[in-house]
Amino acid sequence: MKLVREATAGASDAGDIIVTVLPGSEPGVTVELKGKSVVLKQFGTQMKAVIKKTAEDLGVESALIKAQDNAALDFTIRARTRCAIERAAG
Amino acid sequence: MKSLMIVNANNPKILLDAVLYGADGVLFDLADSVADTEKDAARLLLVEALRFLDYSAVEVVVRPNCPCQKDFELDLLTVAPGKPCDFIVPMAKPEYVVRAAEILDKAEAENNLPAGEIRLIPSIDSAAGVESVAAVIAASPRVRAVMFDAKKFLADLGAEAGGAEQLVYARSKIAVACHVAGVESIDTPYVGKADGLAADAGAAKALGFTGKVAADGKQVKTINAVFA
Repeated sequence: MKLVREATAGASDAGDIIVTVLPGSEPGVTVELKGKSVVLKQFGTQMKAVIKKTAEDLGVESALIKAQDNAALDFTIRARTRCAIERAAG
Repeated sequence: MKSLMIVNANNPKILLDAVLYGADGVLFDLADSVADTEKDAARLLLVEALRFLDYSAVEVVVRPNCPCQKDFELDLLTVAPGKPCDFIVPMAKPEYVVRAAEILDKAEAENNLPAGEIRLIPSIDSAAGVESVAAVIAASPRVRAVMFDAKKFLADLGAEAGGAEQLVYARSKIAVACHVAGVESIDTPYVGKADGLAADAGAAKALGFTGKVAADGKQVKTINAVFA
C-alpha cells in the first residue's frame, strides 16, 4: 500500500490513541511512540510491535508512524493504525 | 431480549465497559452517535473490538448508517467478519431489508461464516415503515426482531414529541405484526425524565412489545424489571 499524504486517526480520550502516519523517505516502517513513561516502560515494545505489524500486514513498505498513547488496548491500537494508514493511502 | 443498550461504537472505553450494565443486548451505533468524518474509524474500531473483547454474555447488535448512504454497505462488509449477532436496518422498508440480506450473503461467503447466521433487526423510523411493517418482516428470513424509533417516526409525521398516547397506533401495529410473524419487538429508547421510564416501558409492554432500547446503562435495570 502506497501512502500519499499525512493522516491521523484516534482521539485523546482515555483508552484511545492518536496515530499519525507519514509517507516514509526511506524503506521500512519506523514507529515513534509517546505516552506515560510507566506504561511505555512496561508495554512500549509490544505496542510498537502491534503498530508495525498492522502496517506491514496492510502492505506498507515505507512510513513514519507517530503515536500518542492514552492507555489503549491492542484492539484500539490496531484499529487506529489501520484507519490512519487507509486515510494516508486514500 | 428485554433490554438493548445503545452505545457509541467509536469510543474504546465504552466498548470495553459495554458488557457491565446487565443489558441482554448491546447496540453498537455507527450512525447517529458517530460524526460523518469518523465513520471509517468507528467501523474499524468496532470490528477489532468484536475480535478482541469477550461479548459472549450479550447479544451484539450493530446499527449501520442508513441504506440510502454509501457507508451502509461499507459498515456491513467491514463489521461482519467480527461476527455480530444482528445488524439493524435503519429507515426500514422491504427493499432495504433485501439489500442488507444480499450484502450479508456476500460477507458471510467471503469470511467463511455460516450462511444466514447474522440476523437483521429492521428499525421502523417512519410512517411508511409502520404501515409496511409486516412486509418488512417478510422481506428476509434473517429478520429476528423489529425495533421502533419513535423520535424519527414523529419527525416524519411532522408531530412534536409529546406523550405515550401519540404512539399507541404505531406501537400496536408493530407489536401485533411481530407477534404474528414470531419475531421480537423492541420499543423505542426513552429520553424523558428518569422517573417516567418504568411507565413508558410498561405502556409498550401492555401493547405487546417484548423489550426496549436503553438509552444508557442507568436505564437497563428498570427495563429488565418491566419486561421480566
